[in-house]
This record gives sequence, structure tokens and C-alpha cells, in this order.
Amino acid sequence: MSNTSENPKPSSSSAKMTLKTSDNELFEVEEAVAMKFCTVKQYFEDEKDSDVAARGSTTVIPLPNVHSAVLATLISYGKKLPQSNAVADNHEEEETKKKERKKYEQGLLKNLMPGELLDLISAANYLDFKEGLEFFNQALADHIQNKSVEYVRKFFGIKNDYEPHEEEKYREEYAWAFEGVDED
Amino acid sequence: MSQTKPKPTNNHIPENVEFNILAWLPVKSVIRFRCVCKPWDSFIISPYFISTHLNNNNSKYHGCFIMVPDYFGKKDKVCKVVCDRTYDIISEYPVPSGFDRFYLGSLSAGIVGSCNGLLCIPHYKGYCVDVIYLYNPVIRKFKRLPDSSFSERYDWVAAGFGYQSKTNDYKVIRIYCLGGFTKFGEPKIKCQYADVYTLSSNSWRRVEISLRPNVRLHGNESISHATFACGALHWLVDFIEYEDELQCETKILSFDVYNEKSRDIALPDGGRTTQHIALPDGCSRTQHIAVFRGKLAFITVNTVNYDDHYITMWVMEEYGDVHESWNKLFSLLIETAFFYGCTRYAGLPDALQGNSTYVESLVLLDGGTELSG
Repeated sequence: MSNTSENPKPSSSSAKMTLKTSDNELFEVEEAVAMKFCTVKQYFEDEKDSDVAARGSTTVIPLPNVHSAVLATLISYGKKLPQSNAVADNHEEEETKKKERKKYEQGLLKNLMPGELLDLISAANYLDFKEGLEFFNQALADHIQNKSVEYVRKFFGIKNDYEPHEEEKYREEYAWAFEGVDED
Repeated sequence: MSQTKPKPTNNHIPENVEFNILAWLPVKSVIRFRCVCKPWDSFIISPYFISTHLNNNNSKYHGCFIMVPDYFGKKDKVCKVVCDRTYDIISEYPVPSGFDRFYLGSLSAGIVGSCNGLLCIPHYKGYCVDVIYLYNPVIRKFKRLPDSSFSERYDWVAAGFGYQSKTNDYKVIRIYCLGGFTKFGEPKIKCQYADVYTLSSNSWRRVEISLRPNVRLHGNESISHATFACGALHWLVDFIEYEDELQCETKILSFDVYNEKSRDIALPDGGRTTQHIALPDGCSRTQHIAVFRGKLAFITVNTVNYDDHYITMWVMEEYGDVHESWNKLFSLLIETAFFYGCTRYAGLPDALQGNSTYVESLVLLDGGTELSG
């Protein structure tokens, strides 16, 4: 009758949630971070409503569309964001944290392939992780901003549905937009 | 990024993922990527995308100015977007040769206003407005406004260009003041009208400006361009009233872009001029209104002893509220007597004429005329 595992003490600052990825890996995440994924937040709130309080914080939330490598990066990024439940820092502390975050962001982007960026964006979109989406969208935008139309088609796997003469006409009319483009 | 060749992904990418990325691109890239495929093109020219892209640009870029060429007949036909802190030129947009022929022989009146990347540019013939254009220099599209059918002789013209967020629409306003004096020196009071152009309907309407009876307006300059702040257009105007005697007070005329109602705003106590009192030698005074960090600002520049220039700035806190009031920010000694506009840091960019704040956008992509050359 009694639970064999310990029931962790309910404490809002260190409550953890477990997320399960598409490749069946389990991630234990602090509630504050997990709540930044609005899809998770919604799932959690739905669960609470459906009277499973007895289960405590041992609910495992399935994320069938997210691979473990991607989730690891998103969680890591989420941890670096200002936490909503944290004590307000003074100005100096805030500036230091901002600088740290900038450094972390630069390091993160250096090691990411463009294709991985796209996976991160798709996952952040599924998880409804707004801050992550903004950051990774901007990073990918920065990557493609000077690329050619052909590069972008290949990158997103898009088929060109323009007739050759249509495309040619557009390129002539907007020649200024095609100047200074990176070589493929 | 370490890899240059893209790896085609196997997963189907939802369209909104692609479109969200597009919304963070600079304008030039967005225009180029219309060519990627037809669905992207349709989405890019949709009002929804244009607004989203603009919001992103507004959140990313703070405080740029645009300098337009003095009049477009000059050699240097380039619009420059300038950072308001460093005055570095961020980008330049050549004005296509097809546009400048409209400006031959016109007064250099600069721009009426700048909203969301659109410039409102009048073409004057003498003191008459001949044609008005809306121009987006980044995407090189312009729209020629239809001629307004109201053309009467007037003493003074005020113009303004504003944006209405409730309906995502743009309006151009021209205010005419008709008057004059009787042979006894009494002002003849006539009505004041505003001609309002609305972009969504591409048409002009006449709206009456209702103020207290017997009040006549006269501008400080023969042509004045409005300051757009807090959803309304503002001009410094003399309110002339004739009851028993002639009363003249300089106030701010405010025209709400959304409901098209006008009202007057009194100047701050320290800022009011005492009319008809001659200033001693070596003294002069100018008054201006501007936008400072999103608030309506009133500025006076007082010169004493020919060389000492003092600038004083007030801002309007809680605009439109019952508790609307001026807050004096500072009074400083400065080097020059010329005021052109405000930056976020209250600098005085004396070299910057045509000093409207600017953000790059795709506005008018779905409706304007192309410029080539």
C-alpha cells in the first residue's frame, strides 16, 4: 500500500519534473526551467487538474517529437535564462549574468551545425519555448541572411516552383537584393 | 558555423518554422528570398508577415535616424540610416533616378514624417503642396497619393503623417487655416479644416477642426510638419482669439490620428512666450516640439549675449490623462542655437537635417509602385 520510493518533499524552488524524449531518455529538470516550455507547462497543468496530486512530482512527461541531444541543448539554454522565480539581482549582478549569457551563447553557436540549429528550432517550436525560439531563429537568420536562393532551397529542402522566366524576371527587377550574396 | 554546405534535413519542417526565421531577416534578404518558392512569396507579402517583421525590427533596433537628401536634384541622392548614439552611418539607400524628376524646382521641405519605415514626402510648388508621396527607401517602393480635390487659397499649411495601430493604417493630414483681417484689424474667423488621407481606402476626406468659437490658428512657420507622438500629430500654433481685444497664445495643436479629434495643449509655465515684447539685443528665442523616448517634448532655445545658448526641455508625462502635465527635464548651456531633433540621449545632431527616427521595414511591399534604376 505504501510507496516503495520516497515521496520528495513538495518545495516550489527545487521541484523537479521528468521529461522523456523520442529516444526514450529521461531528463530530470527543475520545474522553473521546464515551465519555460509552454507545452510541458500545459501538460503539467492538465495533469494537476485531473486529480493526480497523489502521484506528486514523479510524473513523466513524454516528448515524442524531441530527440535527447536536442532537448539537452534546450534545457541547457533554458537554465541560462533569467529565472522567473529567482530573487531580483542588483544591477551589477544582472550585468555580469548578461555577459556570461552572451559568452555562453557565442560558444553554443560556434559548435552548432546549421542543420542542428534547424532541429533546435523545430523542437523549441513544438515545446513552445519562446525565448529559445527567438534566440535560435535569430541565429539561423544570421546564418542564411547573405546566402543565395539556391542555398536556402537546399537547406530547407524546398522545391523551386517558379518557371525559369518568372525567376529571371524577378532577379532582374530586384537586382539590388541579389548583390553581395555569399558564394555557395 | 563550422560547415558551409547545407545538410538537407529529412524531417518535414512545418511552414511556420520557416516563416518565423524569415521574420528575423534583414529587409534585403527577405526580398531576395521571395524567389525561393511561391508559398514563401505569398507569405512575405501578407500584412501579417509585414507586421511581424516590423515588430521584430522595432525590438532589435533602437534609435536610428534617416537623412534624406536635401532635395533630390543634388548629386548625392542617397538616404542614409544613422545610429543615434554614434552618428555612424548604418546603411545607405540610393534613391532611384526615376524618383528625383518629381523634385525639380521644388522647395526643400524635407519629409513630413516617418512611420514604420515609410517616409511621407511632399512636393511643393511655391507654398502649395503639389503632390505627396509615401516612400520606403529600403524596398524602393513608393505610392503617389491621389490629388485632394480641396484646393483653396490659404494662409498657412500644416502637414502630418501618422500611424494608427488599431487598424494598422497610415494617415496623412493637411490642415488649412483661412483667415485674414478686416480693415479694422479684426481677424476674420473662418473654419479650419483638416484634409485626411487614409492609405487603406486611398482617398481624401475633409474633417472640420472644432475648437472654441472665434479661435483662429496661425502657424509659426508658413509650412510646418507635425511631430507624431502618442498616437497624435502635434504642431506649435498661435491661437488667436478676438473677444474684446486680440489675444494670441502659442499652444500645441493635437490631432488624434485614430478618432480625428483635435484639441489644444498649453505650453509649460516656464515655456510660454510673452508676445509682443521685444527681446533685448543679442537675445533670441526659438521653440520646438519633438518626441523624446516616446513622449511628447517641448524645447526652447534661448540665446543671450549673442553667444550663450540655453536649451530647456520638458516632457509630457501621462499623455491624454486627466493628470496630463509637463515635467521639466533639464536646462543646459549648449554650443549651438540650432535644434533639429531628439535622439534617445537628447543629443543635438546639428549635422542631421531631416532627422526623423527610422526603422527598416517591408511596409508598402504589398501596394507600392516599383522604382527602377
